[in-house]
Amino acid sequence: MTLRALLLVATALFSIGIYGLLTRRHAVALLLSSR
Amino acid sequence: VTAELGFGLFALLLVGLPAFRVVTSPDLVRAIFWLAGSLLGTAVLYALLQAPFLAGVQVLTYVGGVVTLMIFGVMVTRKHDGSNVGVGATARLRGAVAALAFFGVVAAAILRTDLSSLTPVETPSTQDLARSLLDQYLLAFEVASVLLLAAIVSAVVLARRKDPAPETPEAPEPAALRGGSAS
Repeated sequence: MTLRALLLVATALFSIGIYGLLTRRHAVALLLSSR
Repeated sequence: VTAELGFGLFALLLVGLPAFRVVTSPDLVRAIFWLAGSLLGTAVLYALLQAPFLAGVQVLTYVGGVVTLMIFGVMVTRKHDGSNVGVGATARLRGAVAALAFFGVVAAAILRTDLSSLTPVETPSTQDLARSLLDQYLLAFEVASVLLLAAIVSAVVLARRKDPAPETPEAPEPAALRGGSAS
């Protein structure tokens, strides 16, 4: 398996993470909140 | 090319699909279980890439440790009220545009970069890793464990609630002084 394919998979996962961070900010805040 | 396409499809099914469900699932607990699936899929990919030690560590640390901690964080320390978190269409569009833009820029950079000059290194076996950790780099390994212990103790000290103040005898209610006619 080439490094290029792995880097592309990692980038796709990172993009999904960015999407989640931008759309689910309140869920992140809920997880980080102390109450 | 066929192998790469197969790998990409496999990675998409094992890791990408659960990862997408993590960020789209409205229920926090379900999202955490999807995250566990995604992390397990990553471990399978590591095993496929001839890195069994990394796969084992991935399962032990992330699936066994981090996901369990998150489940406890959501279900035990908080009264679980479903924690449904809906997402508006505008936020979804904004997130999709940003994520696609990021993917486009980085993927273009990856595709344009010449990676052929990088020579693959010899993959160390689990035995080699164990020998390095417990022989050559033993001191660094132990210092790291002391650092983790300090972090745990600090977290306990920071998270501990203050002891409640000693109770003072309450002043008698005015109604009780008047003979308790309310009872």
